[in-house]
Parts: sequence; C-alpha cells; structure tokens
Amino acid sequence: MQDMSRITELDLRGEVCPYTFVKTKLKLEELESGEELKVILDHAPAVENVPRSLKNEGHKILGIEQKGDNLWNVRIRKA
Amino acid sequence: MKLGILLTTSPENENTNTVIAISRAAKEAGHEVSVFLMYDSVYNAYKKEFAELIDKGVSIAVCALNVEQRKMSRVPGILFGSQYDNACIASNVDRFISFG
Repeated sequence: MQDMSRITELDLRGEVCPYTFVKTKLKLEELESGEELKVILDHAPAVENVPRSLKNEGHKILGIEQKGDNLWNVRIRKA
Repeated sequence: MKLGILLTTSPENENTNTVIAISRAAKEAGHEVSVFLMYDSVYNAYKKEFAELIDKGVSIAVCALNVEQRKMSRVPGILFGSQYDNACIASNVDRFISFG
C-alpha cells in the first residue's frame, strides 16, 4: 500500500522552460496516482506555466507558495 | 479546419506578413487559427496587426522564456506560455505550418 502522506520533492532551481515542465512530468510518472510532489522553482515563467500545463493534463495543483524573491514551491497531486 | 502556425523569425522578416495574411484569410474563411511565437518572433506581440488578429479570434501564444530574455512586457490577449502550448497546438490542429 503506497504511503500517501509521503511528499516527494523535486528541486528544479536553475532550470528554465521547457525543462521545468518536462522534468516535473517525468518525476510524476514515477509516482503513484494520488501521491504528492513538491517542485522547487526559481524561474518566474515556469511558476505560471508548469501548474497550468499540469492541470491541463489532469493533475491537481494543491498550492503555489512564494518562498523568496525568486523561489517558489508548487505542490501537485498526481491524477 | 484547425490551422496551427509556428513563427520564429523577427518582425522584419518576410515571414511576418505571410503569417498575418494567412491567419487573416483562414479566419475569414471560417477556420480556427492558433499561432505560437518564439525566439525573436515574440517581438511580433507588439505589432498592431497581431492585435487585430486577436480581435478577429485568432489564438496567439508566445514563449514566456523568450519574452523574459528580451525584457518584454506582457500584452493583453496573448497567452504567455511555453513549449507545452506549442506542443498542444501542434497535436490538436489539422494542419501545422512552421515559419522559421
């Protein structure tokens, strides 16, 4: 039985589009449905586009938190 | 018919007028038109002809990374997107033309 409370973390600082989306998608493919992924981003356009693209793919965006001037956490639940 | 157009060259390039004319004609003929701008083509976002295309119902998206690299400001009515949007256009349309 998969531990749904476990949050996988993916640090994508330094990455820009389209790798921010591609690497997030590849990481999600490793997870089970319902598992949570936290992605760390420091590229502003990606903070807007990655969640929008993932929502379009059916995943649930749990939250986008700004943690610093150029630092965001995006929490996703895999569909 | 759904038509997708990718434009990567700068506004001074002859491709620009071709894309504007094709988009206008296709829209007037009742087709659905989606345009994706990347590289120096993102500068076209400032052109009034592209604003007119938006008013006609042409869907226009640009690569937000290329926009940021060029220190451009946002333009209402244009999706500041990514290669994901380019891929969605390419996979959803009946015909896809690339001008580069």
